[in-house]
Amino acid sequence: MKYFVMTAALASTMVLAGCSSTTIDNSAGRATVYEDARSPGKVQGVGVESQDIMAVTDQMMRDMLSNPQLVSREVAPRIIIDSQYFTNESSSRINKNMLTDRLRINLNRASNGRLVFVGREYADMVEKERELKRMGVVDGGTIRTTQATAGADFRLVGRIMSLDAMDTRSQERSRYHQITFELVDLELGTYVWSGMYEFQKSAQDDVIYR
Amino acid sequence: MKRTLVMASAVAAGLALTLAGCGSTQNGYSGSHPVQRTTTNELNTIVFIDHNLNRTDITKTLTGEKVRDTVKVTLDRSGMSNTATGQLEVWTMIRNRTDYDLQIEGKALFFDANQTPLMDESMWRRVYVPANGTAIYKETSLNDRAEYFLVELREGR
Repeated sequence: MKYFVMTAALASTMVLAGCSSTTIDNSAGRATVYEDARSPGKVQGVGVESQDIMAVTDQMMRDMLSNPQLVSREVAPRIIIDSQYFTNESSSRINKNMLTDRLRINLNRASNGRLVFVGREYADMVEKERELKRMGVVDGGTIRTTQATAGADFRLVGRIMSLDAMDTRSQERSRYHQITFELVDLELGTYVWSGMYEFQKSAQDDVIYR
Repeated sequence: MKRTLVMASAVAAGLALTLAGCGSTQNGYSGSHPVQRTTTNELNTIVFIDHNLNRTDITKTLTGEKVRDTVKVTLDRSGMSNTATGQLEVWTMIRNRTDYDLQIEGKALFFDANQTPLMDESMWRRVYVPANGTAIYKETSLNDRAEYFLVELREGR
């Protein structure tokens, strides 16, 4: 009896194993396509997306360039724009450098010398090269020598903030973003320019931002 | 036989007239092809590239041309000026003619005095226009070389 049960069990296992098979999905799938980064794409959520980054930096750039206190000075002011004092306090996952780099690069191109940007992020690199020059390891270069590197007049500060809400029954969620940009006078500590960008999005299912 | 020939000619002429009536005018098309699709965009103008927002359909009928305007939003006022820093600033007042809130997106392109593109094209700026209400779209150029503009409006996506 015992052998009969064991044999039956073994036989049924073999039969079931024989039924299972590996299926290969050989369909073509959806090919990779380019999308216009200035408009919402196929995958959309409630976070900060490409069209928001491009719109906010474009708006801030145009606003800064139309401010006489910044661009109409006799001597072009020196400005530091990096993400050092630009904080993300929102629930959106975002690389802050995408905002600050885009803003600085487009401003530098558009201002055409009316604004001078100081690369404080790479100060170590500059100091090392200056030291090599002063020690005579390398020559002085072809442009000039200066007593010190450039001090800045203004620096960008700002925050990304958000306010989330979710309907627990429908799982619909909304997120309001407020992104602030300000330029601080590095001698007086006053704000010389301020700009703000706001938007709110809602969606049934959130997407994952990586 | 002669009578049959006359009747056949009359039927053919009638068919030709009917088919001609179905065709479009030279100014534009009807249905999904409004007048705006075939007109040339002049500089210093504000155009709707989303034809659902504001369109004119011209259909040729046996009695003449039938013109039909379909309007969701209109531009009440528009203008251009120079900022204190010399940039060109263009603005327009958008009026929502519907009973629903609308989102309009605008984009401006700027050209120099020779109407050469300055490669100064703004990103889409979203404007929220409440039902039956008004909102302002405004954009400034990047530098003082801009003399001409072209603004394109579409429904927000």
